[in-house]
Amino acid sequence: MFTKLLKHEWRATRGTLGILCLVSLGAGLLGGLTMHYLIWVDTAREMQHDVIVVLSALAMVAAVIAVGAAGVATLFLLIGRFYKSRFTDEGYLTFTLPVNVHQNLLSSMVNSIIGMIIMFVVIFAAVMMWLFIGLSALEGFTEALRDVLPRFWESAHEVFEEFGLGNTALFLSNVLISGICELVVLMLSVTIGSIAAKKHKVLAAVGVYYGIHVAMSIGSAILSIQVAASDLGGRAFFCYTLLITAAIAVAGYFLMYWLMDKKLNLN
Amino acid sequence: MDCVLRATGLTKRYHGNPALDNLNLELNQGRIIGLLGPNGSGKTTFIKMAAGLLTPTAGELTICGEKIGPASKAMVSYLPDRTCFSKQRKVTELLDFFGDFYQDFDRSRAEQMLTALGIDPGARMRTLSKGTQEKVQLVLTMSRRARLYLLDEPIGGVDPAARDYILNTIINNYDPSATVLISTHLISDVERVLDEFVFLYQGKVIQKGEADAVREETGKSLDELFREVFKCLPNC
Repeated sequence: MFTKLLKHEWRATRGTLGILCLVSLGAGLLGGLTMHYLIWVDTAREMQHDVIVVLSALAMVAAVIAVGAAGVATLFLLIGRFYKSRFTDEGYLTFTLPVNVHQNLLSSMVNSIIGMIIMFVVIFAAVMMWLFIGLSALEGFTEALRDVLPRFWESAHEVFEEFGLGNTALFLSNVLISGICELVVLMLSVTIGSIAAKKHKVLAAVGVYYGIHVAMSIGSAILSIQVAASDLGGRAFFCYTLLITAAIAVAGYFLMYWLMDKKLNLN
Repeated sequence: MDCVLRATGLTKRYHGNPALDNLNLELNQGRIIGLLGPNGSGKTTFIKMAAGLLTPTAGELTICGEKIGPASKAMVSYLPDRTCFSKQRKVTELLDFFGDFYQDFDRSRAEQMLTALGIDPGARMRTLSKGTQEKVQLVLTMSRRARLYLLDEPIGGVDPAARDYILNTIINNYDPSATVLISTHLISDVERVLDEFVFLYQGKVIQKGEADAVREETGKSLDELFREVFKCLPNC
């Protein structure tokens, strides 16, 4: 049943996600082309087409905004899907399916994580495309790239060796767990807001999200002060952060589970 | 007869106000039962609890011996009092959805009913009128071979011709070994299809019985009996 849930979650979001990916890539292409043009006119000292230059600069700003907006819109799409399919009229269908609460929750979480990873990769690709197309206007770009790339990998390798496999794994785990924790906090805020508020559920969810983040910020500040006063090294700090973030994510998940299992009240 | 639904001491309070108050009820297999009562009597609350959308404050509710959960939901076909399908979905996608999640879903029957109604399976829900969306929902609900059908106000807010169509769809498509619980306050319209009735008032069962037997005993229709019973009660 879980795979079926996941399939239908994916079906419900893939269309809009695909459009957002295309917007990002299109913005990357537009940004690259305008950057290429601006570098070209600058290096060629052919500034006679002022209007085109201004339009190109504006197009580049629009491309930056579009890439950023596509990333934010992805988050709204995924959390919006969670809210709509669970706490609006569509919840009447979702919560009468023969699945348990874990399957219900996890299908949405996994789909959201997949969606965010896809968008992250697409935005990375769009930025790379932007830089590659834009900077290719520079004279000797290809030769410079041939020269820089091996040196870049060499430096990256050196940094990795110095940092160590353990620290790299710890850093990547922190990034992943922080992302999942943020997702859980968002979903938990939506759940609490939807179950607790009679009206203005979205507003209530925003309030809950803000409240949780204030509490988390206070906790984080206290932890940082304690760590700074102690003899703990950077690695121990990373470990502490990882454990606390993971604990918040797990506690948030089980609170959400309990609310959906025992306090569900679709009206 | 096997008991399909059993409620024992079922209570639901909203901020201290009881919507269901220590309700005890048993529904047997193969019956069409009218859950009848004025607005606010607890009909929808009871049906939502049986469907798994609300958690009881106290008491127990079982469907074919199973507590409310995935196993009970697999046996219950629920028609809510509102359209609950995403407007972005095509009717065929909804058929796929039901086919994926409900083993008892009869897709060919659903397609036949859609064809009979002239509903294009390729149409998106948002392109259909509200009445047609409700018909799609009814078709999908009645195309399951469920043990218990929970129909919440299936004829509320539709014209008399549509009411007849909906009731005929229910009668012609439910599995005779299944139980159908119809919640409504439009008693005269559903009376002809009911085997049993349950009068609900302020979250309690105040009268129940066989529809034919009560008509013979009292010489009154269920609609007349309903009016007589509820006119004497406060807040009706």
